[in-house]
Amino acid sequence: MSTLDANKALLRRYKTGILNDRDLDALEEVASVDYVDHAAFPGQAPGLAGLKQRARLIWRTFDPRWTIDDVIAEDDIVVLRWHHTGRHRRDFAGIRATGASCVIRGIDMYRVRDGKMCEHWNVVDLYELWRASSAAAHGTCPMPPGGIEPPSTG
Amino acid sequence: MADQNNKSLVRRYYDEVFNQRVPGLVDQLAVEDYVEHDPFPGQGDGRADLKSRVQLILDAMNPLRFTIEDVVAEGDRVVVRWVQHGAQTGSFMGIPPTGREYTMAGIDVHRLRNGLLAEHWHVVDLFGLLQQLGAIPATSAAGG
Repeated sequence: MSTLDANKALLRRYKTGILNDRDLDALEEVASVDYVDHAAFPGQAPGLAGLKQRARLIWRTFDPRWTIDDVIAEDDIVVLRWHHTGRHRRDFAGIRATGASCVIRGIDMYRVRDGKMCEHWNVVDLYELWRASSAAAHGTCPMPPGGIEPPSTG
Repeated sequence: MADQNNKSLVRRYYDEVFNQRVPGLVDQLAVEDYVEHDPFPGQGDGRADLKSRVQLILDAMNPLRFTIEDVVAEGDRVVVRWVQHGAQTGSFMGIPPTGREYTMAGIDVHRLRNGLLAEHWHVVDLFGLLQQLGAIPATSAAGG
């Protein structure tokens, strides 16, 4: 297998294998101890310890199931376009939990070194989550849809 | 290499169409049957609607500057991770001009055909942008 294919397989395993299986210990097999997260949550510890913290927080907040929508790789970088479906169980980034089902979409970029992910950037949009929460609290949301249709799930 | 040509073409979209404010260049950079997976409200497929989207952004945000942080290409796809700095000087998503400055992060995935933009997906931090514009309450940080 080429390095590019191996890197892609690593990220597929992380996102839809380990994260969907809630396999905390397996994170050590796919992430370097000095993992650098450029998209760290407030208070997230550095390195692998912080990645574990982050995974637990996302699991209990959204009970998510990830689907990978695209994988693009070049040199030591792998990009994942993904969405996860779940429930908004706990407050997150100041957005009040609704308990309702939700879809969150993101695009992540990882650097891989010696077969482990070592650096991470991402963009996730919480606008639709905020709209749903606002509508649940007030009966309606004054802001329009972002024009972004959630992917079909099934 | 085709990948490198695709990267150059995609860079022109940010550097020239947006940063130099030349929306008409879209005619040279995109195929006529362009497919948009993350449309603005009312935007359909096609190059004409892409041009309208670009014009809407340029009308709403001035100054506007994309800074490209990373470009990754494989096969017919080019990924661009960017930061946008600007000020909302026109109407945007029903928000009257605020004059507020903002910084927004985004990642685009472009698919090219015959060296032209043919298909697009993105995730942008709209939540963070609308907080900076004062349209929705500011909270702590985002993530996912």
